[in-house]
Parts: sequence; structure tokens; C-alpha cells
Amino acid sequence: MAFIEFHDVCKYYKNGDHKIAAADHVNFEAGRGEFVVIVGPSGAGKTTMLNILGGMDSCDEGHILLDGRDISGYGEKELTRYRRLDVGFVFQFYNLVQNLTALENVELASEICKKPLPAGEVMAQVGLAERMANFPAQLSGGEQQRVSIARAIAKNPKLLLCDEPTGALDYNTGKQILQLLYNTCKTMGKTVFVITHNQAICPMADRVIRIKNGSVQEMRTNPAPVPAEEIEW
Amino acid sequence: MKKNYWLMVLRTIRESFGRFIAIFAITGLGVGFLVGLLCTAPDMRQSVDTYYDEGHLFDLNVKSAKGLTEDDRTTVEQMADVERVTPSYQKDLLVQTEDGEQATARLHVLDFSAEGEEAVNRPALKEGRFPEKAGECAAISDSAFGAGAGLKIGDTVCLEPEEDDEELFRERELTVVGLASSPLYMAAEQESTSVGSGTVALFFYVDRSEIDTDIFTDFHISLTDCVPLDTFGSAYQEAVDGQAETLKALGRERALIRDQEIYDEAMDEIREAEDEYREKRADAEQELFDAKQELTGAEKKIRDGEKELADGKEELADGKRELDKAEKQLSDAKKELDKNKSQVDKARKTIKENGGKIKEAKKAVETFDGQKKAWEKGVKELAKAKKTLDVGRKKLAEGRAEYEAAKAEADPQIEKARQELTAAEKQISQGGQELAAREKELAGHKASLDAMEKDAQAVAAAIEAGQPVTEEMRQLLAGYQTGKAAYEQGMAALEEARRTLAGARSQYEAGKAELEAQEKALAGAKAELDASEKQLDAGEKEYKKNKKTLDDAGEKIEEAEPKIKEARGQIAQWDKNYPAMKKGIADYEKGLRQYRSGKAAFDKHKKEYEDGLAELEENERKLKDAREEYEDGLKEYEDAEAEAEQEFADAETEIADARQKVEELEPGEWYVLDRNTNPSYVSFDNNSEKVSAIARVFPVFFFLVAALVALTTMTRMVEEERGEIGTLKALGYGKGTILAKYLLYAGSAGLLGSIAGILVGQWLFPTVIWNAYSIMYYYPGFHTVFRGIYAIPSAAVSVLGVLGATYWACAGIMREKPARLMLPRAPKAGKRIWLEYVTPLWRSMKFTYKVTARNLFRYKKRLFMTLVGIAGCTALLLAGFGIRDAIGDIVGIQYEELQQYHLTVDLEDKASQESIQGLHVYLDGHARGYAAVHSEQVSILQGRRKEDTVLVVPESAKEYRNFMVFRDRRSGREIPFDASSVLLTEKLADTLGVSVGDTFTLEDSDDARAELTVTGITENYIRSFVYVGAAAYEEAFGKTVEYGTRHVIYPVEPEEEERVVTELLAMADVSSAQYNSTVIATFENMLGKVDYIVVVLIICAGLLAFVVLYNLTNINIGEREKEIATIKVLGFYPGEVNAYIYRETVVLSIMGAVVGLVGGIYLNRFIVVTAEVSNIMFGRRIYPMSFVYAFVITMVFTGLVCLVMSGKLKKISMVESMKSVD
Repeated sequence: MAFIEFHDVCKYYKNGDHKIAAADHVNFEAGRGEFVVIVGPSGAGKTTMLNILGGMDSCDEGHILLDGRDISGYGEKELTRYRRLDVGFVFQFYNLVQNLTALENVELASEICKKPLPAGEVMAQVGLAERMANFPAQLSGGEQQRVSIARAIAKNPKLLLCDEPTGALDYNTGKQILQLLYNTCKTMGKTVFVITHNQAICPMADRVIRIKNGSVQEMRTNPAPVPAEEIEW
Repeated sequence: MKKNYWLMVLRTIRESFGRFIAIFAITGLGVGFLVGLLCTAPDMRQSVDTYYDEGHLFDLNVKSAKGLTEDDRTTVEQMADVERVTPSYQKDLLVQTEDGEQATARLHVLDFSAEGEEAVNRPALKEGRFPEKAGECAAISDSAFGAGAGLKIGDTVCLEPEEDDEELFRERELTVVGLASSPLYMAAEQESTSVGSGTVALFFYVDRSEIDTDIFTDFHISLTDCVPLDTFGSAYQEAVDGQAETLKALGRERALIRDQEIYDEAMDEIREAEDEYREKRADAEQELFDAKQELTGAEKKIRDGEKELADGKEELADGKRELDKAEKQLSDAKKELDKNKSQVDKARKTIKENGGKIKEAKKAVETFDGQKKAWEKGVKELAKAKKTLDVGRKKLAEGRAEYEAAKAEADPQIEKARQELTAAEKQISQGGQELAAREKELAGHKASLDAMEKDAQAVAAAIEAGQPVTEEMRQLLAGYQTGKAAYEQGMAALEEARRTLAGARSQYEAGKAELEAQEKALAGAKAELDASEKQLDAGEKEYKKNKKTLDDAGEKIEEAEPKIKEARGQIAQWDKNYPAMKKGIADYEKGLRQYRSGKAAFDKHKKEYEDGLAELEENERKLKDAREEYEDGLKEYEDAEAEAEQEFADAETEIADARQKVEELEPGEWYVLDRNTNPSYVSFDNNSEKVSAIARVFPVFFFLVAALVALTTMTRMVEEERGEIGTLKALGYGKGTILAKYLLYAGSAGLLGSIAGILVGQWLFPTVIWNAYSIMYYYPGFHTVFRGIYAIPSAAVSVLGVLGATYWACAGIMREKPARLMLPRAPKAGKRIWLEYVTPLWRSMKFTYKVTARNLFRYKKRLFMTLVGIAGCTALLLAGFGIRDAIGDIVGIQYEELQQYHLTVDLEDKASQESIQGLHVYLDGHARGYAAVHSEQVSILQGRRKEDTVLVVPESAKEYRNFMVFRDRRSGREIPFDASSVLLTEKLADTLGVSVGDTFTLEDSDDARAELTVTGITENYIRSFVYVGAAAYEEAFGKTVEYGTRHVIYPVEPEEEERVVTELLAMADVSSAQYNSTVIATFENMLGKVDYIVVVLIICAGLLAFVVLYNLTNINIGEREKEIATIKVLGFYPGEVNAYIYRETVVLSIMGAVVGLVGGIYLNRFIVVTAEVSNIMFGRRIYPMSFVYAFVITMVFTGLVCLVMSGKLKKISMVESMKSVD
């Protein structure tokens, strides 16, 4: 049994009289410690899948198994608990709390976990040991995204979900961030999901899932992933 | 102009309606509160002023104890500025209501018909009609106070006037014919009086005809030009004061005239009295003379009577002698009669005893004679019977011989006949047998004949048929013929034999009958003979029996013969003696009858004599009584004579006294009073003053908060719309146009809010507050009026404040370049706050708290707004509760801690020594203690200030300390008080601005002035006093003190108080007696009103808190939606999310509340001082519980807002919020 399994997951949105399927019988799986890239054009339903996987949203049909637990049936409280303990998020726009320093932003997440990693160490790990006391406004975009990653890692989650992590970053910074995510995956053994519309990222993934019109078009594993530095777009 | 621009403005309003409403509500609240409170006092005063004008309430009231006359009235009416004078007579007295309760009442006399509708102080009729004649009244009956509450039309009340006024009233029983109200008695204030319980409970109006007097006690005067003036204003007071002075001057003149009048009248009266005295004296003397005359006559009569009595006695003695003689005669007669009586008795006895025997003997002789005669007759008859018997016997023997002969002859004949008969019988039976055999034989013949007949017939038939006749046939026929003839022969013979036998039989029967008749005749003769014999035997037997009886009787007669002979002798003897005896008895009885009639006559005379004697004795007694009566009359006469002398002397003294009194009459005085002496007026004036004082304070908060709410709201709005502003700018819209949108937005909200606030506030607050007061006051209409003078400036200031705040909020953004505005706003940088430098503290804080702390300092406008709003809310609450404490306190402190006495008793100015002694005896007997004090209304002059107060001079300063505690309010330390001390109460000292060591001027009621130096300022809450030691007073004024008041320690149950007061007032020279409870009740009433106001304050405070906190939280959430989404994504539970946001709200609320508690102390102080009326000092203490209440209620409001907002927090979607840029 794989670490993560999606079985016929469906999600509908109502738009007036129309019912639009944002996820239409999605089936895929991923193993523990894998670096997974979900790729597809805008509006294909990537984010919906990520939201469902991350417990921010719930599916209407199907089952999602994580490490053998079916999270599709979770209620509001269980989902919150799931987000709190098992999932780390990285957003396109970092979503840092402006009124907290970098370190405090990390602590914001770690403080509510059961076995968090020390915030300082994580900051060092993402290369921000020197900037811990700065407020987000005083950091560059890449640095802010590193803080965001650090906040996700510090929770010591089973799963790291990244929604267009490079979307707001320039090319080089984006690559650095991707490398950081990849390293995190490999060194810490976290399962990492990266959502992107950028096809170029696919070569570095252990597993690539292509989404189109709300369903999985292709899922393939990559026996020889390419390091981030080597990919280009 | 720019259609789309306006469209945009309107759309903005619609889309952010909550924000629009926030500004609308807070300006509405602020303006409404301000305008409402400002209008309340003017509305109240105006309503009452109108009521006074419509009710023709007096402007001035002239009172005179000596009475006012029609002339006085004319004089007053001639004064310039006097519009109208309504004379009235006023009297306080006790009445008894229908249910038998006694009540103190005030009677107003008004000439309803003559004075008409416009009469000053004429009450307004509510029901029924006004009184038209004596015995009718109209009662004041209002819900505002208890007076007349239970009265209805048709009830009756009984007047119970004091002795002096007995003749004043024409009718003692008044019927209520109308119910009315009067502005005079508008408030629930108690009117005091010197009658009954000390306060007036019922008010009545009666017609002039009810009372019998020409004078008046009161003139109620209305002044020209005063109606348009506000009765509570200074212009009015000045106008009235001026007229009062003029009236007082006039009063001095008129009082002199009145005094002369009274003097003249009194003198006339005295002269009349003297005349009357003389007349009466003459009458009395005449009466005495007549009485003397009468007495002399009576004595003569008595003497005549005595003589008559002596004559009567003589006469009776004669009668007695005669009677005695008659008695002797009678007794002699009686004696003789008694002597005869024994003989008569013996004779009677003999007659009685022997009379019966003789009678018996006579009867026996008679019987014997009868018997003897009967016997002789019997003997004769017996002999005759014997003879008859013998004859019978002879005849019988002859009969028997005859019978024997006949029998012997008849017997052979009979025997022969019998034999013949027997033979005949035998022949007959033989003939019978023969006959039977013949018959049998014939029957055989018949049978064979019948057989032959048949054959014969057959032959005959055959012959007829022509058959040949054979021999046989002929034989046959012949045989038949023969047989037939033989049979018929035999038959005839048989018939002959039968006839013969029948003849024989009848012969036999006749012979037999004859025989039997012969035998029977013989037997009859025999029986007859036997019967005769038997009869003879019976007769013989009877003869023998009778013979024996006769023989017996003969024997007895022979025996009785000698006895009868003796009896005959006795009888002859008796017949010879009897008549003599009878005569003796008759004689005796005649004598007796004579004696008896003699005795009756004697008895009658004796009775006559005794009656005469009794009558004599009776007359004797009567005469004695008459003499006694005469003696008494004589004594009485002598007494009356002496008494009359005494009375004459008294009357002469009285007249002399009266003359002296009139000579010494004190001059009369006019008291000129204005409305300030009407308790209702004063009370209302004070209360409306309080309301307007409070109105000055509260709204300030609301204004400040309104501005802050507008500021934060608009700041947020402008920031939200920065992109749009940039776009507009880029499109080329001018700064002014863009700014105009926000000014319009906020301004319209503010203006609409103001209008709504004015509309609601100017009606709501006056009405609510009035309702609170309406329990204390009655007047027909309360009107709220639009007062532009308050409303327009309030609205203008509010709208300007909102516009200013909006402009300030927009100013920063307006300066920015469009390009920058189009970009997402750079997130407001996090900043270190000073708290972080307090490292140990900062370190120890959870950083969720750190976020809170940073946020608090980050948004300073909000911080400020919330602090002010919440602080205002808490301060309002604290002030509200504090006012309650302030008023609730003072009654307790004043009457339990400070003032130790319960009762104040005032004596008349010229109370006699006995009256005072009487009061003291009463108090010694009942109360725990009393202090003699001098108490007087005085004024204190200090610079230009003049304060009215009460002077109290205790007889013994040292003792008085048990009646009143003098202490410093702040330190609680006792203040020394001795004969040379001068103490002022705290409020009084504050108002005058004097402190210990200062000198002030005291002006007493006689306008005498003296300088005094303050030696202490003492705690006091209700009324104001200046306490002066006796020595200090005497030194200052140079006169001795008269102690006309008693402060009494006499605690009783509340229901007992009235009894005590009534008892005290009933005592001579006691002019008033009042328990503190009257004042306490007033204050408790006031406390009820304060509760009402506290509720209004709590509601306002709650609204304030809600608007502010709602706005704050709304902005907070709106601004930090993404942050909230982020922490939700991070896995914060809903409770943690709420806490993350509300922590700020709560911290701000707590901070605000703490600030509010501090501010509330000052606010409370301010309100308390402002709201105090001149003769009351409110408590300065706020109870700890009030702080707790204020704080807790604020927190409850905060919690409510949080509860409302938590729904909004829940609705924030993680997914949606993540999509947008910050």
C-alpha cells in the first residue's frame, strides 16, 4: 500500500445551475519520501487536489488514504488536527504574519505541534540564521519563501504541500527554493508535493502527476530525477 | 454631473452598509443623547410653566394672621401691575373620613361664583362640579401623591375644628361634589401644618358660604406681564420680587388700619359686654328677691299644716274610745254563745247519731208488716191449689175406666177384621198367579197364529194371483180362521179376570185402612190419659214444695214478733222528743248570726280608725319633708346669693382684663410670599435643575467616540479602496472629487444619524426622564418640543466632526501617486515595540500574546477609539452606580451616623412655662432624651453671596454632642464643639468658600446681623446648618437665647410615629412635631428615580460599548482576513483563532475599563456635585461593588460583541483568502 492514495476523488462546485467538477474521479498514489510534482494548466484542478490533500477542503466523493488513514471522512475538527500535526504548507505568496519576525513566524506554527523541530535550527537549515529577527517586510521574496518553508518544516509534518512555490519568484531564486524543497525531501524524508503549471520542473520529480480538466491524465515515476540546478525554463 | 460617479457613491454605501450604519448609529446615539438630555429640563419647565399659567397659579400670596378685608383687597387691586386679586380663607384642621379615620386636611375657601373662571389658584375640575353652597366641597385628588386618592364624589367628610373655630363653619359635614387638581399641589411633597399629624393629607375647596366670617386669610395675586415669563427664570423672579417689596410696604400701612379696626371692634365688644353684664346683674338680683319671697310663703304653709295635724290627732283619740266599748259588748255576746254551743252540739250529735237508727227501725217494722201479710196470702192460695189437685185426680180415674171398657169391646172386632184381610190377600195373590199363566198361554197362541197368518197371507196372495186353491190351502185357511177366533175369545176372558182381580184388590186396601184407623184412635186415648196423670203428679210436687216454704216463713215471723214490738216502742218515744231539740238549735243559730253582724260592723269601724291614723302619720311625714325642703331652699338661696356676688366680681375682672388685652394687642403683619414657598414649585425647580446639570456632562463622551468611530471606519475604508482611488486618480479625477466621495459617504451617514438621533432623542430622553419624575408630580400634559437651539448646533458639530475625521483619514492617501496606489499596498511593516525591550517579560510571553501586543500598538487609532469608547462605557456605568451610592448613602449617614435625634418639636414663640413643663413631662416619660435648642431660619452673607440656612444654638453644647455628631468627613475625626464654637456644614462652607478661621456674617430672621468666626466644618448631607454655641451667639448678637425647639431621641416603630406626633401637637403651645422619616421617605423616593436613571445609563453605555467594539472587531477581522486564514491553515482550532483575534479586543476592553473606572470616579464626582441641590450634599463615596458592577457589565458587553463576531470569523474561508495578494 502506497503512502498516499487517491481513489476516485471528486469535488464539485456549484455555479448557479451548473455543477462543475473541479476534481473528477482522481486516482493516484505516492510513496513515502517521494518528491511529487503535480502539473497542469491553470484551472485544471491542481489546487483543488492540494486543498483536499492538505485538509483545507473536503472531497464530495471518493477516498483519500494517508498512511493507511482515510482522511476523506474527516470532520472539521479532525481536519484541523490533521492540518496541525501532519501537513506543512508553502504558499505562492508566503502568507507570513507581518507583525511577527521571521523566527516568530516559524514559532507560530511550531508552537502548536506535538514534536516540532527547534525553530532556530530550521531557520539555519533554510539559510536564514542571520535574519531570524527581521520582520517579513524587511526580507526579500526568496527569503520570505524560505521563512515559509521553514515554518512548514518546523512543524515536522508527514507531508509538505507547496502551491506554486516559485510563482512569485525570479528564476534563480525559484530554483534555489526548489532545491531547498528537494533537499528537505531527501534529507528529512518528507513527502513533498509541489504544484505547478511549470512543466520544466517535472524532471526533478520522483513522480509526476499530470492533471487536466480535473482528472489525472498521466502518472509516471521518474527513475532518475535531475537535480534542480540542472533544469531550466 | 458625473452620473457614474454618483452611482459609485451610492453603490459603495449599499455594499458597505454595515460601515455606513456604524457611522449613522454612533452619530445618532451621540446627537440623540445630547439633544435629548439638553431638551429634557426645558421641556419639563415649559410644560409646568404652561400648567401654572393655565391653572392661574398665584405669583404672590399675601397672608395675614389678623385677617384681610375687602378694603385691603381694593387697595391691592389698585396697585399697578396687579392683574387680579383672589381672596381666600385657608384653614388646616382635622377631619374624619367616611371610614372613620382621622386625617389632617386643608380647607380652601373660594367664592367660586363671584370670582369666576379666572380666579387665581382656582383648581381645575376633573369630575363633578364645584361646591355651590355650604356643606359641599371639591377634593384635590391626584395620582401623583396620596392626597385624596380614595375620595370619590358623594363621599362625606366630617370637620372636627378646634374649639376656637367651632363657629366658623356653617356645616360640619361636607359632601364631595367634585374632584379637582391644582398646580398648588402638583408634587408629592408634604405640606406641613401645625394641626394633627403635622402634614396635610387632604385638600378641600369649599364655597364662601361654608364659613361665617367677613375676613380672609390669603390674597392670591396674579401680576400683569408675568404670564409670558418662564416661572423658573430670573426675569420672572425679579419681576415678582419687585412687586413683593411694594406689597410689603403696602402691608405695613394696611396692617395698622386693620389693627385699629380690630381694636375698635374689640372695644365695641367690651362695651357691649359691659352693658350685658349690667343687665344680667339686674336680672339676677330680681331673681334672688323672687326666690326669697317664695321661701317665706312656703314657711307659712308648713305652719298651717302642723296645726291641722294636731286637730286630726284629737279626733282620732275619740274614735278609739268608742271602739273599745263596742269591743267589750261583742266579747260578752260571744261568751254566752259559746256557753250554749255545747248543748246545741249535744243535741245535734243525738240527732245525728239516732236519726239514722230510728229511720232503720221504722223501715224494719214496715218490712215485717209486708212479709206477714204476704205469708197469710200464700197460706190461703196453697189451700186452694190442694183442692184443684184433688178434683184432677178424680177425673183421671174416671177417664181410665172409660178407656178400659172401650178397649175391651174393640179388640175382638179388630182381630176378626184382621183375619178377613189376610184371607183376601191370599185370594188376590192366587188370582194374580192364574192370570199370569193365562197370559202366558195366550202368548203361545199368538205366536202360532202369527206364523199361520204369514202362510195365510201367502195363500191369499196366490189365490188372488189366480193360483189354484188346493186343499191344503183351504185347510190352512180355515185353521187359521179357527185359531184366530179361539185366541180372541181367550183374550176377552183374560180381560174379565183382570177386572175382577183389580176389584178385589181395592176392597182389600179399604178394609186395611179402616182397621189401622181404629187402632190409632185407641192408642190416642191412652196417650191422653197418661199425659193428664203426669201433670197431676207435677202439681202435687209443687204444692208440697210451697207448703214447706210457707211453713218456714211462718216460723220466722213468729220469731221476729217481739223485736218488732220493742222497735215500735222506741219509735214512739223519738217522735215525742225530736221537736224540742230542733227548736233549741234554731235559737242558737239565730244568736250566732246576730253576733257575727255585730262583729263585722265593729271591724269596719276599727279599719276606719286605722286608716285615719295612717293618713295622719303620712301627713306628718309630708310636713316634715316640706320643712326639710324649705331648709334646703333657704340654703340654696343663700349660696346663690353668694355665687352671684362672686360672678359679678369675676365678670368685672374679665371685662377689665379684656380691656387690658385689647390695649396691649400686638400689631398685625402682612406676609408676602412668592412661588418659592410652594413646596411643589420648589421641588420641581430643584429636580429640573438637576436634570439640566447632568445633561451638560454625558454627551461629551458620545461626541468623542463618534468622531473616533468615524475616523477608524473611514481610514479602513480608504485603505480598502486605495486601488480604486489610484485608478480614479489615474483616470484624471481630481483630488477634490475623490475626497468628496468619502466626505459624502461619511457626511450623509453622519447627517442622517443626527436627524434620526434628534427625532428619537428629543422625544425619548425627556419622556423617559419625565416618566421617572411623574411618580412625584402631577400635571396634565408633558410636551416634548423641537428645540432648534440645541438640535441644530448638535447636529452641525457632529457632522463636522465626522467630516473632519474623514478628511484626516483620506489626507494621507490623497498625497500618494496614482502608480503607487495601484500597486498592492506594501504590507505595513512589523515594528518592535517598547515592550520588547523589557526582555524578561517579552521572553516569557507566548508569542500569540506578542502578536496581540504588537497589533495593539500597531493600530493606534483603534487603540484610542476603543480605549475612549470602553472607558466611556465603564465610566458611565460607574457614574450611574456611583450616583446611586451617593444618594443611597446620605440618608443612612445623616440619620444614623450623624443625627442621633429622631424628632423635632417646635414650641410657639410665646409658649407658657406650664406648656413647656408639660412637654418636658411627656418627653421625660416617653423619649430617651431631648435637647433644648434654638432653631431659626437665617442667611449667611459672605462677600456677595447669600445662602439661606438653619441656625441651631443648643442650650448645652456638651450635651448636644449626644444628639449630633460633628466630624470631619475625610478623616472621620471628631470636631470639638462647645459654647464658643461656630460650625458650618460642609456643603454650606464649600458654597460660601469659607474655611476654618474665616469670618462670615449671619443675618437672623429679624434682620439683625453679627460676625462669627468658623471654628470647624462638619460632615452633613441633608439640609445645611450653622451650629453656634450659646456663649458665642449671645456674645455676637448681644441677646439671650430662647430655646423654642426640642431635638428628641425617641425611636418608635414607623406606624407609631403619627400617633406620637398627634399626641405632641395636641399639647398646648406645640406648633410642630416632625419625625425624620418624612425626609427619609422623600429620599427613598428619590433613590427610586435614580435607579431609573441608572438603567438609562446602562442602556446607553451598552449601546456605546457595542458600537465601538463591533466596529473595532469588524475592522480588525476585515483587515486581517488573510492572516486569519493562514493560522487556520496552520491548524489553529476555532477557539484558538477566536482567542488570537479577541485577545486584542479583550485586552483593549480591560484597559478601557480600567481607564473608565478611574475616569468614572471623576465623572461621578462631577455629576454628583453638579446634580446636588443647594440644601443637600450627596455622598462622595463609591462602593467597591459599584466598581465591580461597572467592570463586569463592560466585560459582559465585550463578551456579547465577541459572541456576535465569532460567526463572522468562522465564515472566513481558507481557500478564498489564500488566493489574493495581501
